[in-house]
Amino acid sequence: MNVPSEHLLILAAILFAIGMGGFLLRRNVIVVLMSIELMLNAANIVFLAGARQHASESGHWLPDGPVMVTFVIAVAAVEAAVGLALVIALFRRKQTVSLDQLSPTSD
Amino acid sequence: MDTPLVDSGQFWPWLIPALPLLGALLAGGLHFDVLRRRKSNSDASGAPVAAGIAILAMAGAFLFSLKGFLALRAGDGIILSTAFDWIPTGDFTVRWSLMIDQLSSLMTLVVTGVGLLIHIYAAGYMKGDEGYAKFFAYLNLFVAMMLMLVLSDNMVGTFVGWEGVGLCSYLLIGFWYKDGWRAEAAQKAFVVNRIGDAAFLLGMFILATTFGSLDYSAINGEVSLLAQDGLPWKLSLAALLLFGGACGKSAQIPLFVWLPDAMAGPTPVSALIHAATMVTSGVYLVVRLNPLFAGAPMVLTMIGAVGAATAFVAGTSALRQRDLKGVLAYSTVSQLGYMFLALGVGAFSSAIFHLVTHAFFKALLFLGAGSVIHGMHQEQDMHKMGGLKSHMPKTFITFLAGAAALSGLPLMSGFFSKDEILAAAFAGGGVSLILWAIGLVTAAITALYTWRMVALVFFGKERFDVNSVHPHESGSLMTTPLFVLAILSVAGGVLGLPIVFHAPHLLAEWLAPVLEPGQQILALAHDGHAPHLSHLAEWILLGLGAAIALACAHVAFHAHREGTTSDLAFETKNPELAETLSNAWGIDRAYKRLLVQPIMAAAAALSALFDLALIDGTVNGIGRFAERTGHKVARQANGHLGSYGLIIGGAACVLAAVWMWIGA
Repeated sequence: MNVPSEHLLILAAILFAIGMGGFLLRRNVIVVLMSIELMLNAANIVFLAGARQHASESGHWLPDGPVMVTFVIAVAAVEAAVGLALVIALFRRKQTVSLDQLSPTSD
Repeated sequence: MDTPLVDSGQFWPWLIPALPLLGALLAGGLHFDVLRRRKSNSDASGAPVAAGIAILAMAGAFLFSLKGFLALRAGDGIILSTAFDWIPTGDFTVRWSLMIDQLSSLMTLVVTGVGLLIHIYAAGYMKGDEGYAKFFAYLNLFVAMMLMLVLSDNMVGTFVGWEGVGLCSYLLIGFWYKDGWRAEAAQKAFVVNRIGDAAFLLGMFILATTFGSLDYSAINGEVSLLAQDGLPWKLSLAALLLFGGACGKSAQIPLFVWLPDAMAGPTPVSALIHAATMVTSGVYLVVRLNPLFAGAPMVLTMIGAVGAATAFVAGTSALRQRDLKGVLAYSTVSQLGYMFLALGVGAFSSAIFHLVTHAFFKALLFLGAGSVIHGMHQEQDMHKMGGLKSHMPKTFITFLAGAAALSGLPLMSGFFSKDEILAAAFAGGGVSLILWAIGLVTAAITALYTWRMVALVFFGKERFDVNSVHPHESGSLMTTPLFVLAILSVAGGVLGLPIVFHAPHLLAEWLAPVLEPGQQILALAHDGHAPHLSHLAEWILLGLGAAIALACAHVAFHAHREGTTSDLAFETKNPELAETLSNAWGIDRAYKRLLVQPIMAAAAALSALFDLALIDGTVNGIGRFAERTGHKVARQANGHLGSYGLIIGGAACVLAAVWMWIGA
């Protein structure tokens, strides 16, 4: 219990920034999906940090934060399954997983 | 007004305007039927039925007018018939209500009587026209509106008719709208009339706010009470504004310019609008509100001056017209000027007398001119006529009667009515003497242009190609109304014989109850005794009028019976004067230069500056902004996942920043 909440938030921000950077800069679809995963987990850490902070101030746990985290993990798992299935289907058609080659040529 | 008027509870007075209205609807329906049949190339013979319906409607209206007249004569008192409350608002109520009193009864008789004859004539004149049924629909609608104007017991009802005849005159003048200039003449008539109508409305507002009622009986009654110690200036202003409205409808200076142009309509229209009905409504209005005008001596003087000026200017213009209908048009304006001169000197019954006789002889002259134009295959230039008396004997005889009445030859109807006006002006003394002098000069001019017209049209050699043009007499459908009107023109004078004949002045006696309030107020101004002429003076004035009319008629007739030589000689000798006179002293042109063109220029400038730049600019600018923004935004949807992510992430950052900033 000696890790302060600020550190957790800073960790979440760093993770989110890494995820954001990967999402924006990388061209490999699989890496992009992993980056999204990273940002979702950063959000999970914020939820849990908030829940822990509240518990330490009021003396009892509220279920809201952990419940949201459970939802996010479930949705992330589904998203990863669907996303990877799409990537496999795409790869079969186009023989590539690079966004540059998958995106329609802009006008 | 001693006793308040009580509703008679009778419905039949409503039939007087309702029958022509019904006729207009039926004839209008027939017109659409004719159009449909013509489209499918089947027989379009429904048109004559329309004329029959219209004539029957007029005959019915005339009979009910006669019933009203007889009921009044039997001493039944004023007949009031209310349909329903139209605008009930607290203290102020306007009713749909008709009143048959001596004045409106006389007017309905003239309107429906002369109107009936013109309808019969038109059935022959318009034969073969493709808008035959439509024409009768318009004619009937016009008469219905005119009857509403004279029969209404309040100013709002009169205003409805006032606007109605304005609309119908527009439709009728522009009846042959496929000729552009006729359509323009119709628009001019409408616009010039609107100027007068605006003044009428303003005058009506003043009366409504002052008296809280627009019923004639209420207004006249209250004015009579107020007039004991002079009317407030507000009411004089109301009288002036109403006179402005009358100027528009009755074609007085400065608003007379529409009438000469209105000759663009078919000739029966000219006869109906410019002789018997619409142009008399201004005179009617002044006489109807005679206490108000009698109580405003300044306005009355102005009316007299305007009337005299109009009579003179239009009379001199009539001298130099080559168009047969042009002479009659300016003559009409001039004769209306006489009526206003009479109103100006307080001779209300004389004005009505001249209105009635003028309705007879001017309708006759217009219809006769129509017969000539019909026989000459639409030729209106008198210089291309001549010698028609042997070709069209019936038209000639009747036209002669009308001309004699118009020029005031002794014992004709126009002689008595005109001399009564001049005698009244002479008796007035003072300023009225100037009016009298102008009136006398105009009487001479009237005789001059009338007999110039007769000589040019009917006498001398034929100035048209006898081989190609074969003038023919019109059918009996057209000549019968001419004879009826000729008899009325000759004998109409018995309505108002001069005092010196020791016969009762039928018209003045008949109208006395209506005119009494006004006469009392006028007498007040003259310290109780009305101006009076000695018998000797009356005889001298009558003799003077007769001598002038005869002499001028003689001069003009002999100058022009040999053809166009004297006309042309005048034009070569005084080209500028001839030019000015034939264009009504250039008043129309001055309007064009001083009013129409600046207004058009201002309109063009406003249109460019305000309409195009400001309003259109704003509206188009908004559209262009949306379009350009759309294009810019659309470019962001380029299908690159990275740019979407950047926008989402950027937007989230902005939102977070905003939220933190507000939250703090």
